[in-house]
Amino acid sequence: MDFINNLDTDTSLAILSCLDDPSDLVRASAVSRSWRGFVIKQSLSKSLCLKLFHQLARVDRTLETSNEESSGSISSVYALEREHRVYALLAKGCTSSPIKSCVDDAITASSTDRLPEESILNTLDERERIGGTPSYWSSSGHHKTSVPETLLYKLKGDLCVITELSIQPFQDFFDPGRPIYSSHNVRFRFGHLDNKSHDKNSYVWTYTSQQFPMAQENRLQNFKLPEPVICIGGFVLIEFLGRVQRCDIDDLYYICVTHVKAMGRSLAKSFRVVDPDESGKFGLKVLSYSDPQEMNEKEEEEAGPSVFRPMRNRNLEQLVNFLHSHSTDVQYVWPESDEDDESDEEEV
Amino acid sequence: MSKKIIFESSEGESFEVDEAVALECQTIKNMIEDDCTDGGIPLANVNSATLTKVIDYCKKHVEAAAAAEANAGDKDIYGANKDIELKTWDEEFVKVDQPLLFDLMLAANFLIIPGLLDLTCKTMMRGKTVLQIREIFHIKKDYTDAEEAEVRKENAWAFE
Repeated sequence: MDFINNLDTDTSLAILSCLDDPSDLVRASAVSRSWRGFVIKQSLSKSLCLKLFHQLARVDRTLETSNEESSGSISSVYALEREHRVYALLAKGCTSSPIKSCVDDAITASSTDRLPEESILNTLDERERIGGTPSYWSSSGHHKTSVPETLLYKLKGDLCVITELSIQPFQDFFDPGRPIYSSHNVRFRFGHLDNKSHDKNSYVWTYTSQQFPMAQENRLQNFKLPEPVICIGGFVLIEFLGRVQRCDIDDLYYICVTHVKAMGRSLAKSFRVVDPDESGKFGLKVLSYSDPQEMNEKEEEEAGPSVFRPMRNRNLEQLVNFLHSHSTDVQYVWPESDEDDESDEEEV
Repeated sequence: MSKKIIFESSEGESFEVDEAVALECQTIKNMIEDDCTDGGIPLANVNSATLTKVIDYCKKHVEAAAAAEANAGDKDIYGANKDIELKTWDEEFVKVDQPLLFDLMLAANFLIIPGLLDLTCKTMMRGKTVLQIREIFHIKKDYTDAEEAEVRKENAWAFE
């Protein structure tokens, strides 16, 4: 029986809402005029997106490259059709783009002990040492263990579904005690550049993870998010909470990191985030309707395996960044309540 | 001795089930809570064949949930095996003809059994081509070939 034409709307809605693969919804919308009308009118692909990732409720408008100008005056039927198309693609991208390493670049560290030798840039490379020289980032030293540190990274794309982050703390083999400069806990924040702020280094964090305990062990430690989270805006802040290792030479506590990695699905080829505001609302612009999965494969071929990509020599730029961040301090805006925030950073 | 609930199919046939099994249906759960199940529950839009299957499904899932709870303490592979077993059972359960599957879907929707609704919908529609969906639901294609090509082009990735 053609239930859409013969049964009440609620029943049809209940049936089609069971479909959790966007491809099935798209195929259902090609069955007949009435099926297409139903899928589009009931915004089923949008509902699916919100069911998969509640953060996508923050999309407050969709844009296409071709009709940006006319987006204010288009008819509602056309708007719904476009939403269907955009959200179906979004759901597809969020669930089936291949999971890959998503870190594009290291932006800045809350402090650095020595530049350029101990720059955050070193954490992009997974190797513990390069040509006999240890490769790591080191914070500046503190007497108090409670002083936190942060590392800021840019991801490959404005929209990335992050599943897992990994951090390898640094072990100093030149020190007879072979100390490992890990932290008690780590926490992750996802967000975007604050485009309303005058300060170029201001960010808005729209997601804050739980705190994960970190082991004082020299290995790449994985921190799996309880569920995949969409990073809206492409920036990740890693917070190191609680210092554990003192350096014998100066009696100060440090945090040092060899490598940082974020695994997830990048939607860079399909979408761009437009004008995110402080409440987290943003416009979603479609760059291409091609299969997100296939485009990623093409990109891979062009760029070659990232492992063999030579490290860019950007020490000068990094130094400028460093000086800049030290003169003004990076500004962060916290739009949402951080209920678990300050209370648990007690001194050890 | 657990309380019994009596269902009556559209043919007037009576089915006696444990209350725990009937509670799998949200609709019946509400009726039990409102204490209006005395003298049986007539299900005018569910026939005997469908009702038999629905009761089978609910029984199996009540048993599985009880078993899972009993094993909740020791987290060994056994729990995972049970999950796989239930999944296999579900897969076998929906190997029925299309009309019965469709009736099961409607009954699951009416009685509010989310797991069964999900199972039957996905069995009928997941991974199916447009042509298959038309066959399953006896839908006449009302697109011209050109129109259909246009619709397919829109989200071409779903048709590969």
